[in-house]
Parts: sequence; structure tokens; C-alpha cells
Amino acid sequence: MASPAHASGGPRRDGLPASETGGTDIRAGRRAARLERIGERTAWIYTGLVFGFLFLPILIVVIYSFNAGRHVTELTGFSTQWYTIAWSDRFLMNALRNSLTIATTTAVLATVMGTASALAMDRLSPRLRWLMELLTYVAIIVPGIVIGIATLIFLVTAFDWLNPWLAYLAGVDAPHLGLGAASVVAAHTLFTMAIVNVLVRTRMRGMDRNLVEASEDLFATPWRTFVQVTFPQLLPAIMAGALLAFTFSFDDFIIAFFTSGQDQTVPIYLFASIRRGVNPSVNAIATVLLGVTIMAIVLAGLVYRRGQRRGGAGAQG
Amino acid sequence: MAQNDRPGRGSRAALLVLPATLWYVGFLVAPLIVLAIMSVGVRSPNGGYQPALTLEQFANLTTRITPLTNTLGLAALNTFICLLVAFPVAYTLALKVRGNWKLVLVALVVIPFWTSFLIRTYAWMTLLGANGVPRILGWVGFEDVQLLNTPFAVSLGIVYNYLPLMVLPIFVSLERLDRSFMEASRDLGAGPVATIRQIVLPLAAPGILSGIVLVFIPIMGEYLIPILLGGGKTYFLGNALADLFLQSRNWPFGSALATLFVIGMVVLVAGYLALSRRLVRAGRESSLL
Amino acid sequence: MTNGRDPARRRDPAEITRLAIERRMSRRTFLAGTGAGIGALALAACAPSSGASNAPSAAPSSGGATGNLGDTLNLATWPNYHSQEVLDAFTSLTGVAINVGVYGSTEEMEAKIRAGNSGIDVVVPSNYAIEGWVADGLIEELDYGKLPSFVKADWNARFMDQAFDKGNTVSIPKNWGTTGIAYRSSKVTEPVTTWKQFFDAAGTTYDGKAMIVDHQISSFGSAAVAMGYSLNTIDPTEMAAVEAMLTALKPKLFAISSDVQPPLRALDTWLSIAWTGDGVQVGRDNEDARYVVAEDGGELWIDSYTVAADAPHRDAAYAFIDYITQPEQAAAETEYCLFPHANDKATALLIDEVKNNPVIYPSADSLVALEYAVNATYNSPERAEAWARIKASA
Repeated sequence: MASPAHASGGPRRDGLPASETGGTDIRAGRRAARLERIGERTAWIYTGLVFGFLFLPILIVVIYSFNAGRHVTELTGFSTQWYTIAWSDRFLMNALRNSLTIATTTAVLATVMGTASALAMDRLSPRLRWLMELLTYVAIIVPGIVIGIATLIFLVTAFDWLNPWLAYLAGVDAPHLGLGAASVVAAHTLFTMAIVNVLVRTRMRGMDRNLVEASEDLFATPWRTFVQVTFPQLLPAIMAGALLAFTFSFDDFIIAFFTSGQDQTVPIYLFASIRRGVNPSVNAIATVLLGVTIMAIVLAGLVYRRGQRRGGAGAQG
Repeated sequence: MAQNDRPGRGSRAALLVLPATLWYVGFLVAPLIVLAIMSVGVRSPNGGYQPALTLEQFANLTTRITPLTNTLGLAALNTFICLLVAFPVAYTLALKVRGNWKLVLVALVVIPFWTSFLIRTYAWMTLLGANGVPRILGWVGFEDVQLLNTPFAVSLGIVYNYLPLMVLPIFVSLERLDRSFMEASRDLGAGPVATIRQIVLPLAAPGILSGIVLVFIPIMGEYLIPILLGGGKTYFLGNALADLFLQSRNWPFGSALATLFVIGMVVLVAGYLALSRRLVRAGRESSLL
Repeated sequence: MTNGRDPARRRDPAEITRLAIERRMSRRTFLAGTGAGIGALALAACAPSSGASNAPSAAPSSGGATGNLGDTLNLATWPNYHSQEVLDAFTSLTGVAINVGVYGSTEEMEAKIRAGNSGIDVVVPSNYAIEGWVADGLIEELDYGKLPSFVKADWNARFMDQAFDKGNTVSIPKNWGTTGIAYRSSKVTEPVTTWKQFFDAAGTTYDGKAMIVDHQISSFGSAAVAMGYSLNTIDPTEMAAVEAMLTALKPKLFAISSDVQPPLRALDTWLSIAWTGDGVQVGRDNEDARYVVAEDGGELWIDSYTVAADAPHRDAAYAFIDYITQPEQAAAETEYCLFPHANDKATALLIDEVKNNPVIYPSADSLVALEYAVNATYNSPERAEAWARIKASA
């Protein structure tokens, strides 16, 4: 009687322990355990299904990368020709190089600046903190397409002002500022840095301040406290932020489209090429990237595990 | 929290936020100002921008009401679907998985997103096109079902692509929930539903709230999915904006739309955050923690 | 899928194109095999035509300055438009690496070139943009002194000296083409040879199976032709009628998208507005794919080489245009992209299967009814807004 009544749940939440531990406690406990087991199994099946949903298109991409046929609509046989073709396609390779450079630079800049600002924000004066928070949220809120357009317009206006000055100051060999990979990094870092900041601060809010204070009471330097206490606790959030930053930058089409000048990235190349029939060699590129990613993650996992073992019993499983 | 009792702390903090601040000023504030200036200009006869001081562009914005309402409705709906799909996944990963497997599975959520959005979406185009799922449906008797270029396909593409943005923040906030809390809750006789409602949800709330924002915002600015999976028939605000720059080449009108877009988003999200914070606080006070 | 090549089928345009591709492949392999030889080949081909100058074409007679071409050239062009062998040959000849940026429309190119500081040297826009670009100083007047290999007599008068650029002062054609109707004859059984038939059938017989491109000039213009108006109409009443027709049609279309090839191949779409290259490329792989130039009119277009006014590598830009418009290179480019070329000498060099393919080179009669889209159409805010309203409609 007690359990269903509770499950249907009134707005009152505070009466939980007293009313339920009352009479038939053992049977209720067993039922709860069974319910939890069923719930757990359902959760696993469901998670499996979602993973299936996530990987279904990936499977298609991998299969078609080995497809002998010219077009994605027909499966004709096994072949590795698209790998050779992709490797010798200079436009595609050039775009891939640009994309990797842009995404890596963005991830590093965003992680460093986002984490640094997150760590310091609680120590700023309230007014400055409010301002930083506002800027961070606005950076996240402004849609990518607006960022792309606004950055394009702003940068070309700024370059129009700066270039004559550079020419005046440095003479004929003055560098001519223009749009390119750097302007894409600038726009990508804006958004991803704000994301890292929010993720790290979300984590900090749940962090155990007692440990930090204990460390400080033991006269550890701020740096030691950071490295030994704060950083390990923040690491999952920082990692998640770095992953998101790289992924976002590598995947983004619309910001890059507006701000890249003449430098092509993989999404720009792909978007333009589907207009006149997409070349299946892009599936080969995607498969290679996927393989590299999985290897990198496995490697990172191994390193992490070894580090944890060396760290000994202190780290919690 | 803010303890300014030790000397030198404030200035060190200022130094740490300086790079981020400069970045914000240079690549956010300045571009938005230029955008606002351009929005009071006029289109030059051959396209582009011509300086002027007029509110004409803002008056024209009424012609973009359909995409606006379209986008708001679809963004809200799809964010909600995303949350429904993502929460159980984040919950399972954070609380039911132990040790290194946790990292592996979280990595698996992100891995598909290294294959490039466009390639994945092209794969969905193949799957939803006439030679994909509709053909299989045809074998079991459902002839001539169109999936590609429907609102369903747009929703599917959106949920597929923004799922990690919902899973990761919820995972991060749940991950610090100690299993002992849940065991304690069970020992006290609370059923699983009660445990989820009274312990898990309040703790996951910050993650859910950031997840909603993280997913809602890119959907509001979505451009590619309506084109690729909606066949250009579902028209989002992002498409209206891009078309103003890439087809009509009407920069001032585009800037006006973008300016209003930014203001609208800031108001919407600020209101949402204020409201949700109050809710979280109220929830915390009334719950056990 | 096709095993034999019986004579009857050989007359099929799709089959002819397939043959052309096979020959082109073997020829390209040969060219790639000879490596640097292609440069010599190119020089040999152009030497007689550039009688005034016996300097190598790639180092144009710009005051004898040979070392100032730089090492990069930024080319803003269309996807799958240039033969990589030709671009590589230019690089090996001059040391200038070509950085190719591909765009889905002229408007997208303009977004970059109008903003400026894009680094773009050579742009390949469609005809309708050129007047506006000249007026706003986005592209420069061509210095024919730096184009020693250009021989005007080699070019087809049908595509030179057009209203958008009298005397070709700013542009030299790359390839030209038509905006026509592509369809799969296995599904579309009754004839669709006019825009009127296309738009009538799109909303009735082929509900959910027809597609128009996401391009104001091509789609709105073709619909205008179907209703008996000019491709270039900016008359308010006529535009209102076209808008009403397209708004009513929109829910019945498969898509409004410029990516016409994937759905045509997959039979998601049975008939679509398309450009010449789409017709040829889809026809190459599907025997039942057809491409027709509408009998009641429509669009004829030319993509042309132009030099950006703020081109950082101006000398390289001229060397490149001078090189790639020579007949031999132009022919190789045409056999690659399968759009017709405006240089008659280049056309003469083409393998028969391309030259005589009626899809690539339609008869002169079929072109009579076609119009060029003009700058006023491209820049009409009313027409742009009408198109935006159609796309935004529910």
C-alpha cells in the first residue's frame, strides 16, 4: 500500500523515510531490490539501443567505404579503391589538414582559456564575475550562424583598417591580413572556450571544498593544491570540454564557411561536393578518422589506467 | 565561496581571466557591435551594405515571422525529445558502470562525432531515402513511405546530432553522485522511483539545465539539417538568415535579423536560467540534501 | 549492370557518355603517366597560336619578370569543375600551387569576394553577377597584355561579347551550360519537354517525386517561363502569379535543393530542374536518365574566369587564365567536367563521344528560345523576397 502511494507521488516530498520504513519493511525492501534489478536491465537495453542508433550511420559509412560501386546508392562489391583515391585527392587532403589543424588549435586554446577563467571566476569581485558570466553565456547563446556572419563582417572591416597601416609601417613586405584558418580558430575558440568554462564550473560547484581547505591548512602552495587536489577532481570536466571543443570545431560548417576565406575545411569541401555528386572517397576518410579516434582513445585509456595504478590506493575505483 | 583573505589572490585571478576576456571583447562584443551598425544601413543596389541610418530593415522583419515561429516550436519540441532520449543513457553511464568502462562508454558517445557531421548526415540520407528504410518497409507491406525530407527526418537528424550535448553535462553532474547516497536511500526504504526523484534528479538538475541550453541554442541556429534532411521544405531562422547573405546578399536586412535573433536568444535564455535556478534552489530546499 | 554493347544501345546518349568516360579515363592515366610531359605538350599546342610571343605561356610576357609569379594561387570555383591533371601541370610548369576553394553558387562566391580580404585571386562566377561586380569594383579589367595566348578568333561568337561583358573586358568563359529538365524515363513515361509540362506534372502525376533547385534564378525563372513570362521577369503582377504557383506547389515537391544528383540516382526524385553537368553525370550511370533543354525556353549560362580586384597573386592569376583557356587545357577540362566549352578549337580537340553528345552540346536550334539571366534579375530585392516567401511558406 505504501509503495504505490508513494510512486504516484504527491507534491509533498519530505515524508519519505518515516512513512515507508514503517510496517512491512523486509518485503518492501525485497520488492524494491527486484524493481531495481528490472530497472537496471531496462536501462542497459535502452542504452544499448541508443548506442545502436548512434552507430548505425557510422556502420553505413564504413561499409560504403569498402564498396566497389561509384555511387552510394548501390552496393556492388568489396574494394579499397576509395582509400587510394582519397589519399591522392589533393583537395580533400588539403581540407583534412586544415580541419585537423583548426580543431587541434581550437581545442587547446579553448581548454586552457576556459579552464583558467573558470578557476579564477569565483575569486573575482562580484561585478567582474557578473560581467564574465554574462559574456560567457552570450558567447554560448549567440547561434553559430550569427557568430560566423558577425565575425566575417567584423574581421574584414578591421583588416581594411589595419592593412594600410601595416603597409605604411612595414613597407612593401608587410604581411597582408586576410581571412583564413586563423579566423576560423578565433570564432571556434570563442564558443568552445565558453563551453569549457561552464563545464568546469558546473563540476567545481559539486567539488569537495573541504579537501582544498585541508590542503591549504597543511600549508601546501596554491600550485600544489591545484595539481594534487583541484585538478584531479576537475579532470573529467576538462576532458569532456576538450573533447567537445575538438568535435565542435572539426564538425562545424557554418562558422567556418563564413570565416575561412579561401582555406577549405572538410565540411566545406563535403557540402560543396554533394552539389554535383558526392565522391565516395569521403567515406574512406571518415573511416580512417574513426579508426584513428578509437586508437587514440584506447591509448589514452591505457595511459590513464597505468597512471591510476601507479597512483595507488588513493584513487577511488 | 569567494575568499579574498589572502594577499595577491585577486590579481592572480584577474590574470587568469584576462585571455578569455580579451577573446570575448575581440571576437564577440566587437563583431556584434559591427552587426548592429550594419543593421541600420541599406542594401547597395548590387548587393552588400551601404551606410545609412534607418530602421527600415527592422520594419521588414515581419516578413520572417513564419520561420521564427517554426524554429521556436521545433527547437522546444526537439530539445525535449533529446532530453527524454539522453537522460536514461547518462544515468546508466554515470551510476551503473564502474571504473574504466565508464570512460570507454563515454568515449563511445562521442566517437561517432569524429566522422564529420556531413558524412553522418549523408548516411542518414541514404538510410531514409527510397533505397533505405522505406524499401524495407515496402517488403512488409508499407508501400511508398516517404521518410526523407519530412519533419520526422529533421527531428531525427537533430536528436541524433545533439544527443551528446545532452548526455555529457548530465553525465558530468551525475557522475559525482556517490553510489552510497543511493544505497542509503534504498536502505531507508525508498523505491527506485523515489530515489530518482529525490536524489538523482536534484543532483542532475544543473546538468539537465545546461544540457537543455546546449541543445536548444544550436537547434535555434540550425541551418544544415533542414537543408539536408528536410529538403529545404522545413525553413528555420538559420536558413532565413543564411539566405539573406548567400542568396539575396542583403547584408543590412540580414544584420537586422541577426541582431534581433541575438537579443531574442539572450532574453529567452536569461529568463530560462533565472527561472530554472529558482526551481533548483526550491527543489534543493525541499529535498533531503 | 550492362553487359553487352549492342549497336542499338550505342546510340543511347547515356551509353555514349559512358564510353566517353572510359576513354577519358585511359587518356588521363596516360597523361598522368607521362608526368611532366604534359607541360611540354601544352607548350607545343600553344606555341603556334601565340605568335607574338615565344615565351612559355605560363610565364607571360609581363616585362620579362619570370620569378615573380609567387608560389600560390587562390581559385574560387565550383565543385568537380577542374581536372586535377591540368591544375597539376600548371603547378609543375610554374611552381605555383593552386589552392582551390569550391562553392555551391555564384552568390556564395560573392559573399566572400564582396567581404574582401579573402585572398581569392581568380573567381569563376556565372554571367548574371558580372555587371554588379564590375560596378562595385570587385573584379578588375583584364590586362590582355598578360594573356598572350588568348586568340579571340578561336572562340564561339555565341558566347563572347555578351551584354553582361561587352568585349570581354573582365571575363573569359570557362564552360557554359543550360538549365534543363532531368528525369528518369523508367518512371516518367509521358514526355516532359517543356517547363509547362514539368510544373504541371510536378504537382499532379508526380506528387512527392519532383524537385526544384534552391536557386532563385533557375527555379523562379523556369517557373516564370512555364507561365509564359520571361525568365527575367521582375514585373510585380507576373511575379505574384509565379509566387502563388510555386507556393501551392511546394508541399507536393520532394525537395527544394540544389543537390539534385543523389535523389535522382536513388529514385527518391523522378524529375528535377538540373544543370547540364547533372544531366550528363546522372546519365553516365543510369541508362534511363534523360536531360532535356525545355522547348519553351529557360536559362542559358556561362561561367567565366575573372580576376579579383584585391587579388594578392595577380601575376599568377593571369598566368593561370592564360594557361587554362588554351585549347588543349580547355579540352582536358571539358572532358573532365562534361560541360560544353566556348572555345571552338578546344571543342574540335574533344573526343567524339563528348563532342557529339547531344546532352553536352545541344543543337543550335534548341538554344534559340533560351535566355541569359541578367543582373537586374539577380539583384532584384522583390524577386529575392518572393523566393524567400516561397521557401518560408508552410
